[in-house]
Order: sequence, then structure tokens, then C-alpha cells
Amino acid sequence: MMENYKNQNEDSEVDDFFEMLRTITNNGKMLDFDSMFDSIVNPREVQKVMYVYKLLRDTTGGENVTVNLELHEPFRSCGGVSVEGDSIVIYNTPAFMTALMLSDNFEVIPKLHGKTEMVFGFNDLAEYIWEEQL
Amino acid sequence: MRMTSFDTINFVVEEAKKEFADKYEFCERDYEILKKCCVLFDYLLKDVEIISYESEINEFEKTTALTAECQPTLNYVWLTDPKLLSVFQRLMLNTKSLKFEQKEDEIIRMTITFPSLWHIKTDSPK
Repeated sequence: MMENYKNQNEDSEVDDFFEMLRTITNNGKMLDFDSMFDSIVNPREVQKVMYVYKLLRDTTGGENVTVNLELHEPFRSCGGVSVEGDSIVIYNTPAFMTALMLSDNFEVIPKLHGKTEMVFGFNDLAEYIWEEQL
Repeated sequence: MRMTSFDTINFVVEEAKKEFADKYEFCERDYEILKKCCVLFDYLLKDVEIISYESEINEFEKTTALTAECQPTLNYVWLTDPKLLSVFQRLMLNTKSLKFEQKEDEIIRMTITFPSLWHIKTDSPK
């Protein structure tokens, strides 16, 4: 059952992001001047995160479920999709397995107020460029 | 000795077999698959402290639910171990649904539901 998703109307946001990805691919690289080292965003890995986000948003059910996407947090190379709710139910087990296989880590964590969080973690969303590589 | 998930399921299935015997036919083949899934489930949770296993059969759908209560957290790094991932994958192939919820005091309840083991009896052709 799909209900109470906070992120139901975020399709345009996702589309914007894919547009940004296309720009990145076209330009070849995007330098991150904010961090200590320059980095190149890895479009393939970011696409995996976006795909898992869409998959879980459309297939996860339960009570008061919200599906959240975090990119480049807490580091440029990390990201994840989290599903939080009073209870989380997965009826579409093949979709769930696809999400598992695409992600690098999977955790289920108890949170405050009786909520449960399921996190799919991703690494290598960006590659740091060291001086010798330049 | 740690209780296995199959011990829990076996008890309720044997009870249900008697209850449903009049109208439904028990599928031994599906039960063998379920037995294997229980082994996979135990393997998946081998490093987790299990508080209890519970099993329940849905009277209408005839599905078998298996719940494991885990302490203190169900916090895995399953995917870094390809063996565990393949175990999880095989388990999911035979699972109808998967549910995570928090009971109390950070105890996570993980419930997997297996498809029905019973089929409606049909008259054999004469």
C-alpha cells in the first residue's frame, strides 16, 4: 500500500536532477571547490541512487512512510535512500532485491517515537582528484 | 541451544493442518521450500541476538508469517558479504512480503510472510 508519502510530488525535482546529470556528463567533469580536494561526480553511481529512490518510493508501503533521498551527505562520495515509518512493508520483493543489489550497504535502525528506518547506503558518488592525477 | 525459526513454524503448521484438513489440501512441496527458507533466515540472522520467534497463519489468505524480534538493533552490513546477499536474495524469491517495525525499547520486529501452503481441494477426475 502506498500512502502518506512526503515526497510524492518530487518528480520534477528528480527530472531536474537528471537534467543536471546530463550536463555533468556533457561537460565531462564537475569540480567541487567547496571540499578540500576537487572531485568528479560519478553519474553512473548517482543514477543508481536516483533509481533506488524512485523504486522504493513507488513500491514501499506501511504506516506513515516517508522516503528520503540524500546525495553527497555527509561526504561528497556518499549518499543514500532512507525509508522511515511506523512500520515499513515491502510487498514487491523483486523490487526490494534490486534496490539491495544496487546499494553498497543496508541497515534497519530503530528511531525515536517508535519509528523504524531502513537505509540503503551508496559509496563512490564522487571521485576525489588528487594532485598527482591532475 | 538457540531455537530455530523452523521449530516455531512447524508447530503452527501442524496445528493448522488439522484445522484446514476438511477443505484444503496441504502442499508438501511448498512446505519443503519453506523449510529451506527457514534455514536461510536463521543463517541471515546468525550474528543477531534474537529475543523470540513467532509464527502465525492467516486464516483467510493461509499465508505463514514468521517474526523475529531482534535486540538491540537490526543493524546489518549484509551487502559487504556477497554470501549473505545471495542468501537474502534466495530467501526473498520465496517471500510474499517483508515488514520491519519497532516494538518497544528499540526492539526491531522483522516479519517475513510466505505464500499459502494450502490449496482448495478439488475432486479428482473419474
